[in-house]
Amino acid sequence: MKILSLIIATVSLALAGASEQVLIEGGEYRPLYMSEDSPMQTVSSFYLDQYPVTNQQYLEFVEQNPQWRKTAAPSIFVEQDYLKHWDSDESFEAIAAESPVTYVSWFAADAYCQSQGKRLPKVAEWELAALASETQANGSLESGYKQQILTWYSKPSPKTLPSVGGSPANYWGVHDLHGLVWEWTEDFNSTLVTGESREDSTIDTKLFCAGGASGAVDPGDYAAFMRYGFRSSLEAKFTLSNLGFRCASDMKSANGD
Amino acid sequence: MKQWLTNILISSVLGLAAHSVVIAGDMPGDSIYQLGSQWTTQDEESLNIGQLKGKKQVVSLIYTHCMHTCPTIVATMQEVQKSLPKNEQERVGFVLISLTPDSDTPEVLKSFAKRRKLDPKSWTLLTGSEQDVRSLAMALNIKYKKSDDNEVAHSNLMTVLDENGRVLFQEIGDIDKAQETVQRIISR
Repeated sequence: MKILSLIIATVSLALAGASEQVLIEGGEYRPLYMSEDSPMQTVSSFYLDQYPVTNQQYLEFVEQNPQWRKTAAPSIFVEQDYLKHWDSDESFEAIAAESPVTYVSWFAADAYCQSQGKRLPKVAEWELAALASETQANGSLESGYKQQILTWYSKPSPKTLPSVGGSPANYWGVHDLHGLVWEWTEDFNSTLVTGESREDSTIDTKLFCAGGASGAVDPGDYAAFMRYGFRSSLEAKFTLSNLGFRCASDMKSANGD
Repeated sequence: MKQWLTNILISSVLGLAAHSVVIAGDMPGDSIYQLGSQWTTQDEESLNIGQLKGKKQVVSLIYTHCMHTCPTIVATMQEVQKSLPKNEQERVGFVLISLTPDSDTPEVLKSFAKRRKLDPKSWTLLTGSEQDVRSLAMALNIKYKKSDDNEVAHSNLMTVLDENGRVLFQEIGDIDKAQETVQRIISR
């Protein structure tokens, strides 16, 4: 155990400036739109950043990887609004350094995580971690929890985003999964709404609003529907004012195996 | 046995150098060749995606054990190839990229190409890392979802790239669209 802690500490030191990660114990997650009798998706244990990546952390990445400066990144990877809120390639005076970085594309987020020896979390991982309330791994069992998330969804994002960590940690010790920004996931493009090539009745039903809701596990989890809809509307080069990211790692890489 | 995997690893390292060379050229910012990713062909040759430069390319993401739509996509691409005027045929390449790179080894791709009578002069079949497949799919805005049985639901699309790797247009991989696709390729 001591050796393990030592390795983790060493990895943490090596990633100075990077967000600390916490362990999310694996579990089963039932993807949205699957019926009650459809198979659960198993999620292995993984590590997740405690906080979304901040402007300051992203600046350090850009300094070391000049190909990701706002004036240098190729248009195939980023829309025109990439880092729009930054004054220049390497400054952002008007905004808080500890606010989550936004106006970043999937490609930029992916490159950032790779530079840290990490990766973006998968949709299933993100959703599993985001199920947790402050006290339980599955917050959906708690009264008022879904309403709390929905209340955030109903508020417009402020022009300058608050600093990360402003809200209490969830059961796993992760902050800001809800209430600050939307977040990129590694496989957001696996949300098949239309145009996919294999027949699949569970997918077809999603072309109809009511049909989709009637097939869902928990029609009351409207926030999950919003995330699903949001993800399916994204393209990897999109750069949006309220879309940021955090990184994840596999168990083995975080242990230094 | 996993020689081709080793090849990928080696070429990935070498690819870092190749990558900068490719980027250093006059590659447009909106070219998918900006990805600089490294692949292995059906002949176990390593290929940087930027090496597809110089021809128009008709690209699809498929997997060889697909029973449903992939055969239609490939048949449509073959129809497009056949219908191109002689002088255009040399200026257009056809590229199939595997969505299941673990099972679609170069040998599997090679035998698929033979079975489907894909002319090696025009057809390039590629396998690579899961990560590079995902990035490429992202750049082409192609959605896909793998299930536990190694089947993949995916966008049924052909993408036509210009000589510099910019997306000219995308079309549904359906045989009814073949002639329209040919006309659009010629008119560009």
